[in-house]
Amino acid sequence: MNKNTTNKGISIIESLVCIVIIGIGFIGMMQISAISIRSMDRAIEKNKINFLTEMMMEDLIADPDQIKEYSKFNERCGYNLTNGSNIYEKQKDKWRKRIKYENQIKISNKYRKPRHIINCDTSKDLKQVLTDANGSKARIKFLTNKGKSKKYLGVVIK
Amino acid sequence: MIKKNLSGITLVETLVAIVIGVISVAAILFTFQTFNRTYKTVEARVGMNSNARNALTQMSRELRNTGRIDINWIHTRNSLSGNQYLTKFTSPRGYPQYFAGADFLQIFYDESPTSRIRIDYGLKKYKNSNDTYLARTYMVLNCPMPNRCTFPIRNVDQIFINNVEDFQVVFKDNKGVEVSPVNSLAGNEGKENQALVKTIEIYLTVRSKNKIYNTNKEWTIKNADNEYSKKDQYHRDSYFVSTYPRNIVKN
Repeated sequence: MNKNTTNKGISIIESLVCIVIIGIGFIGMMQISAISIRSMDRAIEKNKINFLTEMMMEDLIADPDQIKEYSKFNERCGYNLTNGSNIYEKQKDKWRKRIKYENQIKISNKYRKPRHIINCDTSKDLKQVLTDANGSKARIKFLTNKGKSKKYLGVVIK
Repeated sequence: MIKKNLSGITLVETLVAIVIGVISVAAILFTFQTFNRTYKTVEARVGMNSNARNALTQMSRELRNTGRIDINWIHTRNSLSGNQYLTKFTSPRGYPQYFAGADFLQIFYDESPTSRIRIDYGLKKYKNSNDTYLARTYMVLNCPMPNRCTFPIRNVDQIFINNVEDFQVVFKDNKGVEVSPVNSLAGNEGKENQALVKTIEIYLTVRSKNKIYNTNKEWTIKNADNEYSKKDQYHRDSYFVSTYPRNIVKN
């Protein structure tokens, strides 16, 4: 007796290829989701950076006679407090604390650090106040996200 | 000769198909759940952020106007310079309708010779709920003729930012030292202190509208001197602005 058997089911290779294709599709979707979440995170971070630069600018406008003293604010990732007694030193310490979001929110007893602190790159990230020789103009330079996000704000003080 | 063409599905193939199907469905469900959870978190964060940004921008603008005195003010007996134009209480003192623990802020400024603006900020509870929002009450004092002034718009309470848990205000002088008290309960001291204010710092903590975490998280929030803790599934974020009230300093 001659048996001629033809199995037309799915082979294991075909099912594996199918799984791989579906897997690639899922990975793609996850990637899109991750990218959109990252960009929203960055938008939130940028918004906070806007508040920080505006705070610094308001403080500069409030202290027009000592503008040059603020040009020494040149921070990368350390934000070490100076604990000085002058108003400009106090203001700069306030900025350092705010940039670090120090003492604001703790989750499970750990401070929540902002993205620009966690991913800080000393060679590329920078928060700086620049003033002219007369102390009449000031500019704030804020580089975050490894130098990719930039914020500049300038004003004529007097 | 019997020729048999087996084109059906074998038991093994069926089992393999079931396993693959179950894995695929599980993967789809897992992905959907992850997307859903992430979407909820991001939506909550973006909503909170957007509300806070709009509100704080407007608040900063109003704080910059605080104490603006119109030299042509029509009302002969009621110049703003002799009044309390900047007030801070820790609720409920002074204004019991506001939520205890948070601050209450009141500002005045002359918009024109015939109109004066009064704006109140403070936390209030929603009806039938212990949750709080930042309320803003905007009032216009209209003086069409000397000494005939009316508040045509009274106590129009506006939900300025939803689900605000904490609102703290700190006044600082030109040495960076806190100025306190700045309110009418302190009498002349309260009135004199308002002229010393050089920087107004605002701290806000906003909570998400819905629970977005699967498990409880322990939160400790510190805004200025006020520290509190919560343990729940909500998300929170704190915002800070610092404003230079130009008109007060120049008075």
